[in-house]
Amino acid sequence: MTTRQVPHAALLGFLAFEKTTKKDGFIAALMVTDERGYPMEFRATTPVRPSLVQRTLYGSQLEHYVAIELCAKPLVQQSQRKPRTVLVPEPWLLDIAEESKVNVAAIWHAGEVIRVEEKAPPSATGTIRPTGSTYQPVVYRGNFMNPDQERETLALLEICAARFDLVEVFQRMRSALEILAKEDPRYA
Amino acid sequence: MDLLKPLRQRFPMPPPSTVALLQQELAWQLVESNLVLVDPIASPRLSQNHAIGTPSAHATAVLDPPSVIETGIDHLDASIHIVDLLASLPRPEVNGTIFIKKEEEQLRLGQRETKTRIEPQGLQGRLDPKHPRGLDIFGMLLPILMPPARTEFRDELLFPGELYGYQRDGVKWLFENESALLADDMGLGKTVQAITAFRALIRRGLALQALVICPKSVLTNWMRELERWAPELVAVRVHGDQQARHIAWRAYVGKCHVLVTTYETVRQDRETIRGRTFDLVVADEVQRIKNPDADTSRAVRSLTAKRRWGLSGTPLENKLEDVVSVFGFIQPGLFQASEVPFLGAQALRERIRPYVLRRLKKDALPDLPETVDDTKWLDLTEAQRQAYNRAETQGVIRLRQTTDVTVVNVLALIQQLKQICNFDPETGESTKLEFLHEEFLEQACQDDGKALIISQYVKTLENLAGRLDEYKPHLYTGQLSTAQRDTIINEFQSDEAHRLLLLSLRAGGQGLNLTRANYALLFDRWWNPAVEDQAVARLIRIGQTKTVFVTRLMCRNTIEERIEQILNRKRLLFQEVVDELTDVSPEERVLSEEELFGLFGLTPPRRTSGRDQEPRKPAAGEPMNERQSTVLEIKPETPYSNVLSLRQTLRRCENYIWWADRYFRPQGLEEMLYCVDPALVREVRILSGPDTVNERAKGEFARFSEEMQRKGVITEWRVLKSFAHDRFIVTQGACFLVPSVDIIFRGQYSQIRETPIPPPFEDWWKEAVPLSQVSP
Repeated sequence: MTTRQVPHAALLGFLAFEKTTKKDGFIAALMVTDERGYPMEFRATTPVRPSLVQRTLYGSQLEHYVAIELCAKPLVQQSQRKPRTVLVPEPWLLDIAEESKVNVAAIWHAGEVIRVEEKAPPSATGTIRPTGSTYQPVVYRGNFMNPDQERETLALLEICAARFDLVEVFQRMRSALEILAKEDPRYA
Repeated sequence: MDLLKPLRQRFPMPPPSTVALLQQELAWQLVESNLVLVDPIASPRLSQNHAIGTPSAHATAVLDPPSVIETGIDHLDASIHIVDLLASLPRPEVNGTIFIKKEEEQLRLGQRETKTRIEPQGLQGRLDPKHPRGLDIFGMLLPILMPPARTEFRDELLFPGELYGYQRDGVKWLFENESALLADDMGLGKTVQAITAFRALIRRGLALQALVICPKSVLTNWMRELERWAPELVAVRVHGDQQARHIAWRAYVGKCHVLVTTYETVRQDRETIRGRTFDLVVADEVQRIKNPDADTSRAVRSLTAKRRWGLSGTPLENKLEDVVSVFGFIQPGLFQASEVPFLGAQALRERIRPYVLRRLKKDALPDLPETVDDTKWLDLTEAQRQAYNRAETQGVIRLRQTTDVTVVNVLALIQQLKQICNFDPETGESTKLEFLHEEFLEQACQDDGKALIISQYVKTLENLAGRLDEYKPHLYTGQLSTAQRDTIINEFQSDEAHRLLLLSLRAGGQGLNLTRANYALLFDRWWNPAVEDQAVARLIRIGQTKTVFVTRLMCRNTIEERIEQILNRKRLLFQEVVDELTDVSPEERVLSEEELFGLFGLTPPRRTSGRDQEPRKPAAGEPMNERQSTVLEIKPETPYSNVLSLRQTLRRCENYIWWADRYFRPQGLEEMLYCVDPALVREVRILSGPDTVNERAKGEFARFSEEMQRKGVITEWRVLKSFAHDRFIVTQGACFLVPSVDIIFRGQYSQIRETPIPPPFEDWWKEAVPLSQVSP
């Protein structure tokens, strides 16, 4: 029997942005997985709790500012296993691409309704239909660095989507954040 | 005076973002309108006296009286302070962990399988005494972050070994019974039968998750057996501190196929598990719940499960109370409390008969071999783990700091650590002793059974003798006179009161006949399996009518495991090494100096050879000396291990090393640099395939050549464009064909023969091109 460390060839990042359990702030997490959905790295931010004044002043921009500037950027920067593609659960998080210089795609199961957008989609939209597996098709909306990387990213997503449920990963992360909040007061 | 100057200085240029713009705008508005806006929560000092307008009712209530001017506050300072406040929406802290992914390749029934293992990085830091478990909260999140366990299995069902006939019957019986007590004699493989039956249930879609409850001492062993007999299933242990356990119980729903835990954990976490329904609960050593009023029994009985299996090698049917309690778990409702006092033994047996399968060794004898070997993997107790980590850390530091460190120093540390694996020196705790009490002795010594416990340490045996008094053990060591030895052996063979013989490995090695016992337990491991076998062979003599069961105890994550891994690798790789395994002494040892130091991540100090003299150069065309052949086995997928094994050959080589290996890797050069003795070796020729050539290999070889040149050794690496031949090894002037992989893995090393065909090396060498002419 031989054991070897696995090289990190195809890594995917998953970024979850959630409200704290008391709904008074925001917490974010980045999980890097391999092409089979095994966790390779997990990082979470401590909660950001805007004050009343800050909530008023930032208004509708608050979530965007906290998610992109305060959470996503440092999470991606500080990850040791840098993914070239980050998947997010909602299209408004696609702006991470500009801030963090990564390809970003919002994904959800085909047929699911997600937050309605006012703005036009920034980039490509499509559906990934896993071949040779029973996983549900996944709809994506992407913000890619360039057309080459778009092709590369979609090819990777197709491979991964046939091996594990891409959208299910966010559920794992939410569960992890819930447990984290219960077990460690810093994340409550 | 421009009152606004400080603010202008603060924002001299247009702000870069919307948020900053907003802040700047607000600051200006505040100043111009003589208003100060304060967040009462973030800045309570200011909010008491100095603020006026607020955006919320809550804040308004706090901010009374509201006038800034009346309180005489410096308006501008307050504004700046507020701007600071607004700007400081705090950047969150980012924490996390890395997970290490390892893929283990193993050959099972001729098929290569890859098993993925994910570990939190913290596990690597086991030596850190502050974190003996090496895990933080993020490490504990691993089960939650793992993907869901597979529910569909389309691949072929493989087994690492063939099940005996009675085992196949047992698997079928378990599969068909939702309530079952498998009560085979110890050593007949109850664990394997239960695992295989559960595997079958999963494959048929009849179960998704099982809970295995076992004594703490065999927790690790269950994990190992699951890994061996059901490699496609995800098994996790739920054990350890409370926080980790609570996370695990919640997290592993749907994430694994088997949860393995202890009776104590079930008792402690009774409330956490309440309400969970398992497809199957397996209670190993189910006699642990024979006391109906014990908390543990209650906790186990309260579990909700679709199937309930008990495993026990201890006969229960003669003790009414025990049976009722055990069947309270296996088949709830089988006995009503009101009828128990009036139930006769015969009625009791009839009642439980459909749920019990018990085979004695004599029943299984036609199937069983002469000996049944089993290795039990145990976890150190907390006290042992702490003592072990402390001793290892301090020992390694000592080794690093000692100038002139020798193998003797390393061996001393190994001995110390091995003894801690036996007993914690301070508290006397011992996971191995726990195993003896919990599993081994009760069953080995039941009826008319007798057992040997073998250790290399007399101190360990003396310790055991004092703590196993109820079995009236005899102690047999080299310190006894011949007459004393004879008396002990006679008593053990003939006196039924003495059920246990504690045998020193060295004293018990030869000349004894102990056929009265048919259980042998190796309390600690010797370097050389052959020496252990010799001791065990005392049981397998003429007159032995029973199958002999040999149990070897090993502690996980200790020096015992590391040594075992090396020995296993050697056994697989190099028959010659196995043959040479001898009683260890610094001069004649099984593990090389490098391997001994390597056990602690150290490298042996380099010493200059006393034979550094001008080496004799062979004349052109001079035939190589004829020497005794050395057989070298190359395992293609472990090129680095090849090199380790090759060392011994290299050391004995004279004049030439011809090394042909299509799997050659540049790491080998570093090894050769160290191993090649210039007093013996004149030339190193490397012949490899083109796939081994890259920039790194070229660089390594250049350095290697330079170093060798200084020592007067000629080096050359040539590359063959194509390999028509599979593999061969040319060494010491003879060529050996390596047989098929199949033969290697079946361990038939004797089939590795010197080829009668003249070595094709020279011909190939001529065909090959120098490394410098090959582009990567």
